[in-house]
Amino acid sequence: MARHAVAVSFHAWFGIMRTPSHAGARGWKAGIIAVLVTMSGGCRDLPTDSSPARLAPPEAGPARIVFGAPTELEPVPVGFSDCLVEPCYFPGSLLLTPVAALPADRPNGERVRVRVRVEGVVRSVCGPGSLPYPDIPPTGLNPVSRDNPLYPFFEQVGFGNRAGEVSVWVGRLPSSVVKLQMVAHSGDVAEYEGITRRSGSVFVYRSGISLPYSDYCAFNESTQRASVTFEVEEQDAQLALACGPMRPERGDRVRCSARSSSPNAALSEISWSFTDSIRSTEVQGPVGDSAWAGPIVVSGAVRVRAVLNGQPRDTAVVLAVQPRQWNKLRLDVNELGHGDLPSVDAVAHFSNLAHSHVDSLVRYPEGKISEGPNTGWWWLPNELPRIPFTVHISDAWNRGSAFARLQTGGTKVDPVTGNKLGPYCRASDLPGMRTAARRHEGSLGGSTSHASVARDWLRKESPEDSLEQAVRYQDDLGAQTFQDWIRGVYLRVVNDGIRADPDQRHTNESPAGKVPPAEFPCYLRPWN
Amino acid sequence: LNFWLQEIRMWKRLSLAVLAILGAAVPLHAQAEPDSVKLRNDCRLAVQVTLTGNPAPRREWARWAIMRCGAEGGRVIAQAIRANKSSSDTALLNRITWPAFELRDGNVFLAAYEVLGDKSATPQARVFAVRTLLLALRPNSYLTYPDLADETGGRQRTCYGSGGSFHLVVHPGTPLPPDYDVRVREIGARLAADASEPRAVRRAAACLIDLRPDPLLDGSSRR
Repeated sequence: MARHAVAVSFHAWFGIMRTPSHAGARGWKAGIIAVLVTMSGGCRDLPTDSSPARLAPPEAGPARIVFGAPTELEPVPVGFSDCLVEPCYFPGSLLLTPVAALPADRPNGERVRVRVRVEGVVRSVCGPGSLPYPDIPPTGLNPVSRDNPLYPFFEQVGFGNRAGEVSVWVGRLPSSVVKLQMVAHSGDVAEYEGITRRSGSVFVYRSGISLPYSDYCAFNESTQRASVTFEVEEQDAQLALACGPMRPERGDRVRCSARSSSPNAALSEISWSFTDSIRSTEVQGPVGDSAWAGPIVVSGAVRVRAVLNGQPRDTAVVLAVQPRQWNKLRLDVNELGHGDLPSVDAVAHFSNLAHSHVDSLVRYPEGKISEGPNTGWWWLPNELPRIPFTVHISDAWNRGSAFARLQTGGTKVDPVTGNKLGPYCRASDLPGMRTAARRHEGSLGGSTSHASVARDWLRKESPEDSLEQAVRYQDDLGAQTFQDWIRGVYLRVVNDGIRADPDQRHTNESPAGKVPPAEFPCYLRPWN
Repeated sequence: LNFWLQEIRMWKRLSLAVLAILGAAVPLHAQAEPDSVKLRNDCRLAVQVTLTGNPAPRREWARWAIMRCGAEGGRVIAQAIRANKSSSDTALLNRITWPAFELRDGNVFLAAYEVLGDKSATPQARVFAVRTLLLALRPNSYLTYPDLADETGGRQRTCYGSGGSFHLVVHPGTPLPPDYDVRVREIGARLAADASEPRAVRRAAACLIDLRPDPLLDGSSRR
């Protein structure tokens, strides 16, 4: 494929007219970039593939802009001059850099709206969005990145073939110059995200050039004029809401405060509310306070409403609660005698001679939030103690029990075939069998007991993560107490989880890590 | 020696019970080669002791033996639950509802469901009805009247008792209603929220609100 070059150059005038402003007043400062684009060169034998393209990073460096006086931008060479730079996407494009210089000394720190009007393009990566001004870096030029609050995270405004407008809110302007960096283009927005971050430059494309390369080439030797208008508008005082920390660990105390962005405009009629992420229900908070603080256990949006300069305002921030790192739950195995096993005279099968179960806790830690946005929410403020795992061994095994006295030896015979099946147990066999039963349940240790497999499950499944985030709003408890409710959670998360583990099934197949059946050397005679 | 599979087959053949004990239990009852005559006699005696309390020395035996009497045992127990809805004798009510510990029977369930929703029944009868319904979802859960009624201030109660062992034992009677678990949760939520209900009934009913069937009742969890 032959290489052909497209040379693109432009001349731009960048002028910013400053108008006097004062607090509370609205003034406009506008700069108009008039861009004359001359494209030359040619594209022959261009591919007709219209697959998405990657934009090559521009090579142009930032131009210097002085605020306060008309500024003329020198033409900046455009880096993508080769049609073979895959996929030759840029005929008819403009490269403008930098795109804006904003005044530094805003009176009283009011927020400033920067409106960028792009004409003659099809799309822009920049989009409208409100930037939390406390996060604006105080000085310097701001490279565009995900970490930079100037990053226009509400991307993609589709203009079609019409002129479009994007707005970015900037607040607390630094004492020097802020460079607002934007990208406008004609292609798939997603493809250009990286360019936005890397270059911080503006690309303005001629309308309608979203077609195969051959169409681009039609622009060769043509001249394209486009304009970008920057408007700087002073805004009225804003209702500012700041919360910290924004990503608290569950249980951390969070403080939210509301204030006016201008000392000349006071807030009044302040009211708070919180909308949680679980119930999606807005609960009203205090009225009249400029701050709202308390422990946070459930994520959601804190909203403040107030009157500012006679106008009702409201704003909100989202608090994203982070889980605590809890230790792995551990078992506390105890052998507690006969327990709830059937009486000795009612023994009918092995299950009546020994069993084990995961018990409920006697009491669960509990906490109820009584102040701040999460007022009324119950939670587990502490890790759970060890899980009680109880083994019961029937009294039937005891020497001299009625059950033991039944074990008199002999041979079990199949009643149908008359075949000898094996020996019946004798009383002297019982101690060893009792030991086997205890080992099977787990009170004697071992690696394939119900207790040990339960330990494996706890290590593997981490149910503590579910318990850590167990929260319940007071109105949802109804007739239950939090203890009632968390018992149910525990039953499902821990007890049922352990018991439903397939490895708890008695099996002789691949017994490693699973519970094999207890093996007895003889048949036990039942009571009946 | 390992007799488990053989014994389980025999157990199933006799249709005495479904052993959800994960395959390990030695059904000693089966080992005894029980004949139907003996079983019937045992059940007859177990029913008598359960209903009358006599002979007293056989009470402990009877409360376990009656669980193995299947649908016939369930029919008698259901009658007893209805017949004693006006009783406040917790020992009696405990005795007649205890079989639900292992016996899952539709008649027993429906009788308990009726009594629980019957405001003319005593609070004690209704609390034991709660236990009966709860055991339909969570067999083998060891629960007492104080656990459910929660009448003593400051006492730590449990809604689910021991939570059931790994050796779950269930004896089937008549089938439960297909929506039995939904019914249980609904009546639990309704009664727990009804301020006109006795406190013991409300507190017991609260235990049903979030109740889900024991996962080992799922066939996939059984061997």
